[in-house]
Amino acid sequence: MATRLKHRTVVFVGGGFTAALAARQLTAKGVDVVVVERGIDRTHTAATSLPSQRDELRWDVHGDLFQDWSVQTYTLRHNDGETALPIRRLQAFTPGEGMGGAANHWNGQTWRWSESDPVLRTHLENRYGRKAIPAEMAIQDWGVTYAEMESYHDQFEGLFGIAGKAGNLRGKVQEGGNPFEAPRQNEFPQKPLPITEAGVIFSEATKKLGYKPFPLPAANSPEA
Amino acid sequence: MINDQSDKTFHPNRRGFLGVAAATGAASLAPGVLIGTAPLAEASEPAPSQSMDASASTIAAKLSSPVPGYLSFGPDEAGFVEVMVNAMCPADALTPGGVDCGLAAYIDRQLAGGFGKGARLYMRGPWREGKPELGYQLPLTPEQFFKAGLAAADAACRKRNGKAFSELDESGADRFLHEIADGKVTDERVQLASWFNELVYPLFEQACFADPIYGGNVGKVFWKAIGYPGLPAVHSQDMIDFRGKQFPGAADPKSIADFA
Repeated sequence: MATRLKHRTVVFVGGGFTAALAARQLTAKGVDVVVVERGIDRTHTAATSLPSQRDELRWDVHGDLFQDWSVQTYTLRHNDGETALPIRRLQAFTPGEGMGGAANHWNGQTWRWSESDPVLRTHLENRYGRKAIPAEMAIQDWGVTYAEMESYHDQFEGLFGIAGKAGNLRGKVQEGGNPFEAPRQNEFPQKPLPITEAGVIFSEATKKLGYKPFPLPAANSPEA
Repeated sequence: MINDQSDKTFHPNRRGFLGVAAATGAASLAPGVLIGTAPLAEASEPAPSQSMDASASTIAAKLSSPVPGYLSFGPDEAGFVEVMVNAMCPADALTPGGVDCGLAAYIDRQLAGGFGKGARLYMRGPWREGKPELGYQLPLTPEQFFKAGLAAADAACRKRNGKAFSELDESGADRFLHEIADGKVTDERVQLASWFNELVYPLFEQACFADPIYGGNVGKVFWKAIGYPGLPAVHSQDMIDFRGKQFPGAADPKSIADFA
């Protein structure tokens, strides 16, 4: 017998990033909100505590933070001449489960859109001509531009304390940042993460070849 | 663990084989064969075998014994797996043999546990063979697939070599495993190359390098061999402070158990 719960103004089905951010806005305005998510609340569990949090076999190899694939999956085929078969084991595509969703295993890489991302059809047509895109290829502009989204990118980076180095501050390309970055109004709220040994080697080698390596924007703090 | 006496009679396995070899002097055997340290695990007081080189015996003497007993393997399966892990991880200056490193115990525990029983694996129809790019499509749990492959490989070994896999010496076992991995050994029902490369080898690799709490990597012997410090490997300040330098913590790696 289904349990009838009390009426709520807003119900989020799925408790990942999207719900969390939207619910945050709504609850701040006093709106009555409930978020529904399958699986467990991982607060104070092995996934969020030391030392078990560092268990590479459990979380990474066996994917214990990911969606339980035994319950529900997708089918896959590579063209319409093939018979689609179930994807039986999660591989590169790793949706989450439990409160927080995929944010629980998010690595924190925080890229903004490129200016061309939301206007890809226009961008490609301008660059290669209208005939370059085959008729059956369903590329479309999204109906929103980077310029319209810039302040939300900025808000998100502030909220999450993203660490990084600006590559394009109000149209001026910045030394040490991503030279292809879309213009931003503000620097990142935190300085970039320190470069590891692998990064130092990569950075030196690519600079010698004339490239412009830069630190990834990351949702991790460079300092305590 | 395997009962050596009964096994010798019907299905000689590596342990039985080594016992016989040691007793008879086994002059015809390749020197590498006696380096296997499987008998040590059974001895109440570990004593390095005479033919083991000094550094390997030092490592083995310091190691605790792997967790005893098998949860998933029957005696024949255990015999196969023990010979296999000792061939894939022979005792040398870096590590003792695979069995002493807990590799057989690790694989057994994995197959007996959630992974082996098909946890997180979609196990409902439709069941059809697919091209490799569509991934695993067998209606078998990993434990069932592991055992089906083991039986098929053993049958193929008898056909090819005239004896069971567990009767092969180390170099013979190693050669046969390479032939399986290279797709040179076939079976009507089990794709043996896929069995070895996609199930057995990853389990072997995990047995070596996963945290010792899972039963393999006994004494963190593989972490020490490659200079991996264990959990402190992700301490970001150390990653910066020891950039381009030896990390002293690598000499004494830390397991989850060390922080529990």
